[in-house]
Amino acid sequence: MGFKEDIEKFKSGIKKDLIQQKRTAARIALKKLIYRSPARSGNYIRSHNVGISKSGKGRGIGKRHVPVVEAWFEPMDPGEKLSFMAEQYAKKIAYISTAQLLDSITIYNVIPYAKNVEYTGWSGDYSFYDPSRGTSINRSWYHPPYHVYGLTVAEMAVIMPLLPKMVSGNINTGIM
Amino acid sequence: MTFKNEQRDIEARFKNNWASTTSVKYDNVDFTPTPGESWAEIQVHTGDQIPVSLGGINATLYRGVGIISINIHTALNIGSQTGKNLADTAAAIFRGQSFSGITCRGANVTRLGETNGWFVYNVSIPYFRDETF
Repeated sequence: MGFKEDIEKFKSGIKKDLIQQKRTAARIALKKLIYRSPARSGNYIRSHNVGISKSGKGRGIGKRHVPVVEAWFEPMDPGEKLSFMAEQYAKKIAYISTAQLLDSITIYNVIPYAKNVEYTGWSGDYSFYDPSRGTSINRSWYHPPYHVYGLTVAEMAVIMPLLPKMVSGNINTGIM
Repeated sequence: MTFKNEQRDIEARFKNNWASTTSVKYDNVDFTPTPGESWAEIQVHTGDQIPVSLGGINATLYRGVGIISINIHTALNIGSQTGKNLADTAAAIFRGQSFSGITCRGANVTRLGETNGWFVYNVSIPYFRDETF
């Protein structure tokens, strides 16, 4: 084999590694987003969307899952929640696998209460009858925000420099 | 540094620098806002600790990340300048600062708009701290 073939092989190897790194980064981010999300109805998790901007070919957007019905749901039990999250993750990573070297991958959530999940949490008032006092008691409740995207972005800033090693490990050993 | 000390040092820095700018709601401390008066709420949200070095037990460097989140509440119908001014003050307390082993990155301000009878801006400052375990 001559130098020309070596260089071509090297270039093709680098390209393959870079594509793999990009897809791996997106998969890690998506997994973190899904598993960090609150799950009551499951609508917030369904609404994590993956968009891929095709280089030089306009914009391709992943399927959107914006619910039109909002209601109060009992929280999922832990087992149900985990299998639901795994199912949602599996549905969306297939799309990430189509991303090419110069494509941009965007993960976003446009559900109407995303700002509560991310920044403000929820609060409200309730009252109940206290038989020992013979009167109604007023209380307020507060559920804090999750910072699902903010924390994931902060973690990805730490993980991204480690990706070349992780991807090489995956290619060389099959383990990651 | 422990998570306990991390929370304590972040809240202390905010308390010292914010002083009497507005009243502040801290985690798990009773607080009732005064109608019409601006107030701030500070929360610390921690993410994963990620191993960033080779090493064994007690010799691996972990980088822990988190977010300092400050919600600025102002009265409705007074315009945006009061809230934005408070957001600037909050951001300057942490933006690019290093203290107690905590390194803060840039701040970002998000307009959340009318929420529960207040007009709200969120100031988020991601940070990290390294520790060997």
